[in-house]
Amino acid sequence: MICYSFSKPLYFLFSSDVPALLYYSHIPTAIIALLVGFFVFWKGKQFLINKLLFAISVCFSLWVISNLILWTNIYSDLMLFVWSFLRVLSTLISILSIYFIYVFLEKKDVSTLLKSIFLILTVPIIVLSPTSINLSGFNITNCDAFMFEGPLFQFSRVFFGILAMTWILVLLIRKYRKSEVDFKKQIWLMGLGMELFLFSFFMVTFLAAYLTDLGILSDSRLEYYGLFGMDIFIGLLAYLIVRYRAFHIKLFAAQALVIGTIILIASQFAFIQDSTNRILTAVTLAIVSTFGWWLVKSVKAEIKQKEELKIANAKISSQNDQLEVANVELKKADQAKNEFINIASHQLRTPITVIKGTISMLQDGTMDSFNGEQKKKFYDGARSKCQKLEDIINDILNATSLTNKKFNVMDKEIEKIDVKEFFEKMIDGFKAETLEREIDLSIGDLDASVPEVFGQRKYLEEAFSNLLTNAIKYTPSPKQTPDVRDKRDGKATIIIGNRRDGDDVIFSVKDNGIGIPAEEIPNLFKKFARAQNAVDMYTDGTGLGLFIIKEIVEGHGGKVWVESELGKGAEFFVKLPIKPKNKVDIKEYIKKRADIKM
Amino acid sequence: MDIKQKIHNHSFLYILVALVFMAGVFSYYRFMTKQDYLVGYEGACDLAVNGNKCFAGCSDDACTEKYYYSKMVKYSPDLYKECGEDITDCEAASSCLLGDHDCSKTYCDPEVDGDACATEVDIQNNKDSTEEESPQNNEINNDNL
Repeated sequence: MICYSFSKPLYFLFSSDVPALLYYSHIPTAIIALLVGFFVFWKGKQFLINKLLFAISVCFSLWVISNLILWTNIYSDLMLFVWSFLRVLSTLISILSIYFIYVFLEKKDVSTLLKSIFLILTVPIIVLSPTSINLSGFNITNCDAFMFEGPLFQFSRVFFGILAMTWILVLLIRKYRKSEVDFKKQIWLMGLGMELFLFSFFMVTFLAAYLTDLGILSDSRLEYYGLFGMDIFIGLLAYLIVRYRAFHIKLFAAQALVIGTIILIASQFAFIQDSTNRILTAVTLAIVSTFGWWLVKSVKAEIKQKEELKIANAKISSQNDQLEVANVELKKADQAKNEFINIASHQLRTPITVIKGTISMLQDGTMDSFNGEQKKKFYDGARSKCQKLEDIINDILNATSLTNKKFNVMDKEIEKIDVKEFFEKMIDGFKAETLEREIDLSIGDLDASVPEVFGQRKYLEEAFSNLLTNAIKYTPSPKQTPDVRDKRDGKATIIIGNRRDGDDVIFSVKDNGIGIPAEEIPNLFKKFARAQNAVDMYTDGTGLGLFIIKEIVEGHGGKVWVESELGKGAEFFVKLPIKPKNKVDIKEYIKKRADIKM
Repeated sequence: MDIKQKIHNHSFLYILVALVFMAGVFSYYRFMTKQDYLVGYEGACDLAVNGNKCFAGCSDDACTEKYYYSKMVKYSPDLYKECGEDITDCEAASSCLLGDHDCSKTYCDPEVDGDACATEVDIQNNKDSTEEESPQNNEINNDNL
């Protein structure tokens, strides 16, 4: 049926029976909402908040277009079909707005319970919308269906409007109290925009009807003014995007301004009646679009330049940091070189002098004047100094090698080591020395639960050998001068022990030697570090032994530390995993090294 | 994210979209195909016969010309069958016929509607009008015919 009092519309939307303001309020608003919604969605499809804004904008635009169809059409079938959707769309806008604000505030999806509540509220409206509970008929004289609208649906719009505004207000206030200053501003802007939009969309028609009943207004059909709330909301959203990069979008003010101006000028076409104004508006639109495009392009280029400068600055700053690190490394290397020269000049020179002296005596025949025992003493001295030289060179070479590349235990070289046998052999190796110095070197308590450990035997032998050498060296012997000997309390003993600690085993080497001053302990495992009392006792010594131990133990995934009381001895602990975890595939390792060399 | 998880996360949206789509299909079928709804409009009312039981309306804002009507409600398919899509100049639209499924014609009740009803001046001015029907009650329902 057709509304006989009204004229037929053009293309379903254009009628001479409606005010021009209707088009101005409907068409640009729907286009702006849809464009912004789509733009936000396109820029961040993966974000829920972007999807929700898009859903709201689609529902709103559909509502606006449906409303426009109802204003301009005269076909009752079509109008009832469209009318039946209005309440569905407004209900969806209300629920989606709550959902949107929740996600905006909490930065996460709502709970399943809340989604269920949303569904419980929405489903009856959707399911009942095609039935007579919503619409039972149509008045073709007034061309509307108000008198045939069911009471449930008549009040649903106001109900959902008030529900959304109240719910959102509570959410905003609760979050506002707990938020940081910067986010408070965003809450304030978003809240203002959303509440204005909801109020104007849901309440203006109702208030207009109420005020008309009271005789304050003459025309109750004012819903087109209510749509301008969306424009304000969109404006605030644009500000949030530009200022705070909301919705994960990078947009700058010039873009937003140009787009906004173009839409506003284009929307003038909705109500301009005469051709001259249409032409002038079209020209203005073309000029603004062209200059706007140039403006956006130049601003974009400027921003790009700024960003490039920022990146370059960051790069320079990072390079400066690298240079500083390199400088520190160079200083360290220089210091190491000086220390090496120091060792070379003092500790290498002394044995060489002794060897040189012995050879000179052999050359000039002085040696012939000594008897056999005296000669042997000289030869033993020279041999001992040769051994000393070899030890120093080995230490330096090991330390240099460990400094250049971090030691890592190799998987193919790991072998099972019988703990007891390992230490027994080691004690045998030191037999002559301990006998000579009258030091009791023995194995103490060994934990039966760890009879074996896994590791690289050669390196572990070196580490424990260094520990025992130190223990022997700095445990005063009765053979030494009284001032040194008296530094020890009781008989000279060195005890090796171990105990299990989860997947690890802790070895200990305890002596009752001179001990280590507490202030020296933190630096003890550094290269060339020697405690002052050790230097006083023996001037020779590279200070590399403990550094080498630390590197080997850490290479096995372990840890080394010391506990000591000055004058009462020291106990060194070596914690090793029973089975090393950080092992390196030796083939990969060799390949990598080969690649580096190439 | 697997499909199951995706469906679970978007179930709210999927349910809504499915329901809206189904509601749309039903609405289309009811209003566009079956035209299952009532149509309300202003039917003719003879002042000579019905006197102040006719509603009085103005043709323009200044009310220079008046017209008189009764309030009609008919089932859309019946009205379409009797008058086509435009009821202008369709006499059948102003009365309830025997075959009509749902039809009502309401006259003005001065005690209820007050100023909306035709006045004695209106009746005097239109006394030459042809009598078209003779109402016994304010409202004639389809069942009474």
